[in-house]
Formats: sequence, C-alpha cells, structure tokens
Amino acid sequence: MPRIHFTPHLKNHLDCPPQDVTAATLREALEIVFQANPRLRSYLLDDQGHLRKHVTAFIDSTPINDRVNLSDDVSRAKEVYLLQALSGG
Amino acid sequence: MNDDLKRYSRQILFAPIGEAGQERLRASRVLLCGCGALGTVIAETLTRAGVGHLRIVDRDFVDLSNLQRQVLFDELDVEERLPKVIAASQKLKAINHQVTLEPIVADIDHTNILEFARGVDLILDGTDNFEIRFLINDASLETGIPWIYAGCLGSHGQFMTIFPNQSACLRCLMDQVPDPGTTQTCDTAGILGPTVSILASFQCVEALKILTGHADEIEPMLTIIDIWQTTFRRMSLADLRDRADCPACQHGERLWLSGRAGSQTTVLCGRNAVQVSPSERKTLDLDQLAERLATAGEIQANPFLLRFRLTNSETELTIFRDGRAIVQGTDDAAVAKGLYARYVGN
Ligand SMILES: [Zn+2]
Repeated sequence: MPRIHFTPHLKNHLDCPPQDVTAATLREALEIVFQANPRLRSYLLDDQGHLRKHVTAFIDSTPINDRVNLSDDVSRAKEVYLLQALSGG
Repeated sequence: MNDDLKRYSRQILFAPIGEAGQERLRASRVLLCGCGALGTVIAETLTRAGVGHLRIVDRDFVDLSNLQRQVLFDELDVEERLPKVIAASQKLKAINHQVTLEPIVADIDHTNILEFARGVDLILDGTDNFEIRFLINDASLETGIPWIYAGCLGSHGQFMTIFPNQSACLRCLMDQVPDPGTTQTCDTAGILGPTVSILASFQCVEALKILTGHADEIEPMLTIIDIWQTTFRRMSLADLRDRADCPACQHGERLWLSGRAGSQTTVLCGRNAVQVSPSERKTLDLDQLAERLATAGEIQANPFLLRFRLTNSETELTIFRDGRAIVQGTDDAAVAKGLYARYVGN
C-alpha cells in the first residue's frame, strides 16, 4: 500500500498530508486522493487528465514512465511522490 | 604555497580540493545567468572560492524588495537604481580582486546565449523563470557545457546538475514550460532568504566539484529540500535519459535556442505598454490566477480578462484568457517579460 506524498509547497497550500491508498495504478491512487481533496486535481492534471507539464511523479524515488495514462504500477510501491518543478530563484 | 593561493588556505586544506584543485578553479570560467537571489549567493561564494573568470548576465535593477534575500545589495544600490550586475560586481571586486569579473546588463535570449556561453566551463542557473532555464538547457546540449539547475518557492527548493548528452536534461524531467497561470512564483507565494542561500550553496558545491576535477562524484539525482520542515530527499534520475525519449537530448530538438518557443513581446507605441504573448495560445483559469495574485496587488476581473495592479506601483497587468497580457507602465520589453514571468508564471 503506497503512501502518497505531495511536494511541500502543495502540502502547505492545499492541506494535503501524506495519505495511504490501496491502488493498482498511479491513476487509481490519484483518484482516491482527489475524492478527499478535489482542488488538487487541477494542480496536478490538465483538462485531459494528463500530468501537468511541470508536475512529475516518482514511485519509490524513480520517475514514472507514463505521464499520459498514469498506468504505472503502484501496488507494491512504498511511496509515491508528486513533485512540481519550481520556477523561483 | 604560492602567495596568490594563501587566501584560499582553508579550502586547499580540504583534501579533495588541495593545491591542484585550487589551480584548476583559478583557470576556470563560469557563466552565471541571473543575479537575483540565487545569483548573488552563487556570485559571492564562487568569488570568495577563487574561480578564475565570472561572467554575470542579468537584465534587472536593484529594488527594495530584493534586499531581504539578495545578499550583495544594499539600500544605496536601491537609491541609485543600479543594474544588479553592476552593483554586484562593485561588491565582488572588493571581496576578491583576483577574480576576473565580467558583468553584462542584458536580457538573455536565443540570439545571445551562445555568445554568453562562449569559452566557459560551466553555466549556473540564477534565473527566476522556466523560459530561460529551457534556453540554458538547449544551449548546454548544443555546446556540451554542463549546467546546474535550481528552483525555489517559499521554504522549498530543488536542484539538479546536467551533464549534456550524458545525464538526464531538464526536458527529460519536464518536457515543456508550465502553462501560463498554472504555477506560483516567489512574487505570489513568497520566498525565505535561507531557502535561496541553501539552494545556491548546493549549486556552488556541485560547481566546485566540476571545476576542481571531481565531476565523477556527482550523482544523477534531483534533490528536493524543505527548510521549514527540515526535509531532504533525493530522487534517482539514473536511467531517465534512456527511457524519456527526450526530444532535446535524444532527437536534437532546440525549441528555445531556435527561437521557436518562448514568449513574444510587442511594444505598444505611445501607450507606455508592452504586450507579452506566450508561444502557444492557452485557456487560462482566470479565477485560479486571481486567487494567486490576490496576495500581491489589487484585482479586477470579468469573464474575459483580469486586471492586476501591483501593490505600491503604477504597473498594471491586463491578462487575457488566451494567456496574453498587456503590461502597462513600461515600454521596455525585457521588463514586461520579467513581470509576466513573475506574476503569471512560465
Ligand atoms: Zn533530455
């Protein structure tokens, strides 16, 4: 059962603490998370349901393969980490 | 020890650097893109460390709101409205006369970046927007010069070192700049000084490794920190280049360097205004953008556009649903592009 973590910025802004989910794919995992926090969806996904361009997901510290369908297997993962690339400096 | 090296004695005592590493550092040349928060910390650290030649390019002037975190500037620089690179190099000269400083007041774009990168061993990212970072990424792939990315917001930051055509590049991680209006920036969500200093210090450590002959000790990782939560994470990018099928580093696409990507500006003659258009038309979520901008100024909105006047400023941005903006209060395209990047985001 993976624990879903959000980049600290999203965590503070949208109040989304780490959450344990039971899911087969990344898409299923995110849908569970969006049920509890619907505002997160538009921060992470575009209107076609793909990961936004500046968002990346890591499964056990390795980048996912499928940014479009989010089909990566998370069933045996310990951690899924959602990251937004930062522009400031 | 040679007299010129005495000032670096503590750094030379650090075994991986030694006298040989210090000599290599002195023979090295660096391009620093941007002289703001990250840039001033990088410039000061590398000048003290004894880099040979430091070329610094920035388009901006020193502003009062910079002083909280941009460590080379003071109130006098604000009063004199000095260009950042000029104010910075005055301080840097007094810190270490041995370093050759080359301050350049310019807006980095696809027409000049290769000239700025000519003859350097390393490019450091001290910028504040993705358009320039993607341009640096293209220039790095084109020239073979490594570069070090860092980005930050609030108490949070991330960095990675890119060895072109060897390790994952910025586009392997993220194919395009974010759509306008979808990200927060330091101007809408704030930034802590220590976030920047820590990130810039990490960039400098990576730079020291590369410039003193220890590039092989840099792992292909994206490092993510949060200084408020005191967390530190490293994500492996080891095989990302092989599996990302990246248009830039696998297929040679240079969208930003060719000028095909990147926002366009048009000076609106006689109106003291500039229009900034993103490279592709988009549909902005104006409600979400209004929510973000509310912390930074006054907002007026209707279903078609959003008017945003910066707090304590005559500058006004009229942002249209298709991503276009008219920046009122300047006729300088670089200033308008900077304001767009800071408030609408790219
Ligand atoms: Zn790449």
